[in-house]
Amino acid sequence: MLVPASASGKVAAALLGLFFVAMNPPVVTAIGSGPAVAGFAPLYVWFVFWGVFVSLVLAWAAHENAFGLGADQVPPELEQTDPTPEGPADAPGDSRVN
Amino acid sequence: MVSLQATVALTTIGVYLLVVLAVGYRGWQIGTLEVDDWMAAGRDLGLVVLLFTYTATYHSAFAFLGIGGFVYDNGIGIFGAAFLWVALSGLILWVLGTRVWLLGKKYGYITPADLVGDLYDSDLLARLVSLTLVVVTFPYVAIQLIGSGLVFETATRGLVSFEVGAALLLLVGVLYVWLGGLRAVAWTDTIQGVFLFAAMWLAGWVFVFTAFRGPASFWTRLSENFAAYLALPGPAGLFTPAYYTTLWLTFALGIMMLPHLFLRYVAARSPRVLRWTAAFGTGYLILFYVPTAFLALGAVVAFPDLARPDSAIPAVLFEFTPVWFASVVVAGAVAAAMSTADSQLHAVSTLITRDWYEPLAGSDVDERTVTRTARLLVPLLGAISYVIAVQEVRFILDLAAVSLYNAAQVFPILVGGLVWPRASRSGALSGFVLGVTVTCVLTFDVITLPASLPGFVPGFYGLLVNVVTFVSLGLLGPDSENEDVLRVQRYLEYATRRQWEETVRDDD
Repeated sequence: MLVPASASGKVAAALLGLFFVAMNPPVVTAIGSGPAVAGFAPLYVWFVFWGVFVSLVLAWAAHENAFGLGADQVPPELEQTDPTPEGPADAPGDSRVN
Repeated sequence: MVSLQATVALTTIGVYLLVVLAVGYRGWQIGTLEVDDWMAAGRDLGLVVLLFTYTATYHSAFAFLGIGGFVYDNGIGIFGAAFLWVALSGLILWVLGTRVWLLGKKYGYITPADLVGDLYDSDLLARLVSLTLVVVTFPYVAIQLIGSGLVFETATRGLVSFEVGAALLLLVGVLYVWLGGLRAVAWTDTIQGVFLFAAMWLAGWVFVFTAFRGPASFWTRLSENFAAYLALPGPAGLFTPAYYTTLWLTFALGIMMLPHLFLRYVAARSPRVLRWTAAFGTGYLILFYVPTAFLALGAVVAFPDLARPDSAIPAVLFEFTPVWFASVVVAGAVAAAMSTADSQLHAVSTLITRDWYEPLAGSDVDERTVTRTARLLVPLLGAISYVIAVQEVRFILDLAAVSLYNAAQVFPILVGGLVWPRASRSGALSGFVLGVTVTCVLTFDVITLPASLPGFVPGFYGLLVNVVTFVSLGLLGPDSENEDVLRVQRYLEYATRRQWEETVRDDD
């Protein structure tokens, strides 16, 4: 259910995987001891770069609906404006299941 | 005579409070006494409001005050960890949040206990999850009050005391939560979220250009004299690989299981709104931290012997920027604290009403009575939080420290129940109880682990025990324990595969 099936989902998952690898040890430990980048602390530049990167990846993935559950996957019975939730023990006026 | 700083601070905070009160009043005019309306904003929040209520609620006083203190003590490693937990939170909001939204619409879930209790057909598990979440969320309200009271006192140079400041902010927060429920909270969060972001970005850049003539000379000065702050493991050696990795992972799972964020899953108008909130919200939360580094590290350069690290960012602002500007920006910290405190107050009141009062009251209770009970709880809970906050009980701070670790223990049993057909009641119950127990035992030093073990955060050890127990008992347990798990999973399958179309085709 949670594994992306579409091509865009797989690309987005791979890019997110890259982000999580790049932002964890040992990569960040090595970057922190590197030379300055245009006067800036290398680790700060690294964090900002990957932070912007993951924001853009998520925006693109949202545009592509890469991880599913879009509007077309909402069953018709839930699309009515005032749905009546199901439940074996509905109290009067209550939508709770238990 | 009242100083310029106090005048500007009082005016800014006064205008801000009037605006949020007006917005909260508008929420009350539109709202109804239906449970869904007060607790989940009628499940109808659109993109802009959900985006800002998610981000403003996510960022508590920690984002403005706490992170300054953390960087002051341990360097910039926290930013990497924060970017990671923010990104994973966005993914959870999207992938898990849309599924919870769908099930909430179908079965009427509002709280985490609703979902977990129905998944495993267990009132006991529902109560345990609810109790844990109330206990770990409630101290946070007091923490936010402590933060906002201190900011009030600092910004007005003691003209308004900590106690009076905290009381005033609590009064306003209680009023609009009581009036408009989640809708009022979400609308006021929108104002608070915009204010917070603008204040931090302006402050960061004004500071770095005022005090250092630009970021390049700022970083040069830092790397020459404070290099340990700019690399892992930081000056105190805290950010070991084991600590860094388990901290961000446990924080992300914990934050997204806290009830004030879980309520946002079910309050969205559609999965599309949740999807875009996850994408834009992640960008917002990450970008928010970018200028925070300037202010927090600025304190390292300017005040090497700061007595209270949490005051690092206000101290830098009042030292290096015009007083009126610093006063306005520090008022942003009030917005940060208030936007979280109001959501938590609403969430705790919702959990107590939904998970405890409703089952006790029985099936005769009508919806208006339930909502009135939840509303009545808001001032009561606020008053208790205030009493705790003004006494600065040390135990509350300790409880807050384990909040996220314990909230994270809900994640495996919730996600497991949605994706794993073997998920069982006994596995979920045992895994959750053991996870919380291990987390508390390690956090409060009841036992100390051998030094040869990796230095994971306590919540991660709890998660390991939780997952191993949950999976083992799920594999060993009888099939009869997971009928409700399969019912819910079948419905998710029905939705994601659009199986109603096959039914229509068969009928044709």
